[in-house]
Amino acid sequence: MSAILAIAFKDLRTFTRQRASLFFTFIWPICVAVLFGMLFGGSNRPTPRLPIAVVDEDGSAASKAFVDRIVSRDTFEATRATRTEALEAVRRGQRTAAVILKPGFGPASERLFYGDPPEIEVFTDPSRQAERGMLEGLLMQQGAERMQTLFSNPAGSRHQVQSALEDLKKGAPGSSPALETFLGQLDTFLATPGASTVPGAKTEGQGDAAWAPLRVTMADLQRQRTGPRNGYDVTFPQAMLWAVFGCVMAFGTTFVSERVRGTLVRLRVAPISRTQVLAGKSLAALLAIVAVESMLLLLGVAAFGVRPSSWLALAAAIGCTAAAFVGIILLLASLARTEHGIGGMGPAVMMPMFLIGGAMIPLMVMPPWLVKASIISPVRWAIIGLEGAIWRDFTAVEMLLPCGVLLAVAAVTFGIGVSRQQQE
Amino acid sequence: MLALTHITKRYGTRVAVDDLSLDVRPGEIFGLLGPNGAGKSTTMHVAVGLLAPDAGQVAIGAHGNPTTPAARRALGLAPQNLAVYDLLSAEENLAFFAQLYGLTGTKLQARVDAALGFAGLQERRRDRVEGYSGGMKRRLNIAAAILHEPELVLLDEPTVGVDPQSRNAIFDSIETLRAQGRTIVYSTHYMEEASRLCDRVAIIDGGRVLALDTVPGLLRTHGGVPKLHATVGGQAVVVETRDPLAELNRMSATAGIESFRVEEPTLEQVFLTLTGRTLRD
Repeated sequence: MSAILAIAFKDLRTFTRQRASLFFTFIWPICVAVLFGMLFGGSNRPTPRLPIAVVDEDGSAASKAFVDRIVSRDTFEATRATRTEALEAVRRGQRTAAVILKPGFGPASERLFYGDPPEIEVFTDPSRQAERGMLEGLLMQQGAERMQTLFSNPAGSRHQVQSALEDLKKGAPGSSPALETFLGQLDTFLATPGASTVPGAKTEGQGDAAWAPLRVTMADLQRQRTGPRNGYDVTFPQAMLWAVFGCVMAFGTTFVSERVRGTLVRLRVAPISRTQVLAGKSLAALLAIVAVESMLLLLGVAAFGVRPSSWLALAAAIGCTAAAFVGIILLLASLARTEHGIGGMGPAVMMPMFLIGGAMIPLMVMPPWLVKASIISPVRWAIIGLEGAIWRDFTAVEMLLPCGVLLAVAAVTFGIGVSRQQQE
Repeated sequence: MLALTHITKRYGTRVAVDDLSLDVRPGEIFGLLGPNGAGKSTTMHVAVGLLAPDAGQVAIGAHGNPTTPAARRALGLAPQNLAVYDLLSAEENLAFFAQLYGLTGTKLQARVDAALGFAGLQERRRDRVEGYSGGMKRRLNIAAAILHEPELVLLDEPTVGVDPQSRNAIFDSIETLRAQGRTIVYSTHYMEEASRLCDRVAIIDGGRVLALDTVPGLLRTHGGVPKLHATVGGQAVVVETRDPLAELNRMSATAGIESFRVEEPTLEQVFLTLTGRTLRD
């Protein structure tokens, strides 16, 4: 095992010292992902504003004012909609959330310290936990801002206090002598000249003020995605395959150069088996492919809004892709006699695979006949697997097909490659 | 230490090694002398188990078959090609090869240090090999072969393409190995190297051993008679004689000798005698 690791480590070390290899396995794929991602429309979320649909089912002045404030906030990219429209927009992935102000929102806003608070219902995709938390926080923040406005506007809030005192005297739910005393004293305070001392607070109309510890009810709404969220969802899987292409060429060349330059002779004279040599070199190629795919993916997630729907499925897709292309490296290396040979044969074999497999033209925009033809290309199955985990929302069962095909490619190419290498 | 018995190796219809037998004794430097294409490298590759012979047997000392792990640990090969990694430093190359032989930790470090000292590369140990001269690469190539302290070291044309200074450094390092008691098989097409280094030399051509003996033995048997070149009475004279001094005395009795030199037989002449061709043909 130590010999295998030594060979793998040596190959990885030499790989990282080849500038041309690093360019084609990392820099070039990034260029492909970013440039084509921009051409395909880039991110549909160019700013951190949260896209939501707002539904006002109350229609009161208070609810309208609340909606106006949401729409005017920089933190939201809010559109007004009916309940049906809003829920459909979330299902289609066009909006992150549907925010619904339920009937009774206005009267509840009028009540102070008693009765039910104003209620907001929020529907989001269950996978958008981060956005859900952010949204809930922003809504509560808006409620807190109302509190500040209320106590800085004595004229408006006096009306609400007096209205509440009348309700309590009529025996409204939640009334108590203590609350009645408190509101009476608050009314006296608000009537005092100079009670408004909060700097910068603006005076608003009666219906615009609302005291509200909001009740926000969160609900799941499964998104039915029909396409990628943005161009980068498409171009990053392509870029990952271009990175694999770079690895195929780099490691295919190292296989052949060991033979051509004579270092393979030294390996074969050492007290290790050919199987150990092949295992070490294959392990290096496998680790390199997984590493470059992962780095590109993380870049896509961190900077370009790529949001894998399943990290587990993505790990499976990356692993199976790496296995398949390690097999292809072995096969190509067994066929080529010289470094020039693999330099010619590699692109000659790989480019058609990439052309019809969706690494140049996205599968989703290919003509149907080309999509059918692409089933012979391992690149197609690699991209399907990666896209399945990133934006196609494949189930575990749906992931079996691309992963299974890639593993079959790995088994066949690895078998032939090893057999040919052993026969030399 | 190394026994090749009736080895034959063919590439298609071409016979590279033809019924070749050798017996290399422990502690000696054994030379394989022959022109390019004579079958020296093929013989080396058969000896270390890289190539399976079509006929005959190979035995590495008591280990027998060269493909067994024990036999592989007992031998070290410096191939004719520079079998080192250009993108690694000398230290990284040696550490990698040492790991293949199961060396780890302080022992690995000690052997790497020793091999770097052997090759005279301590000061450049952390530089990438791609920046080395041809001679430095050759020395590193040999250092990688002796790293694990093998009993038998096979050096395949170890001075090809190196400058005279590096060649002398390589000779010195080979003599160091001899002093350590290692058995060395040294292939070359330079007769001067075989003459200087080897205890015994097998002259090979066409995959066959044409002659095998010590250098003096080969010269005596196949080198012919020394030639005395003299200028006597203004006349240039060449005389073949095994006793040049007696011949000079005889000449001086009849006329004054203006100049003379004795041309001793060389391995080049041995090869010419055996094949009708020179080593560089």
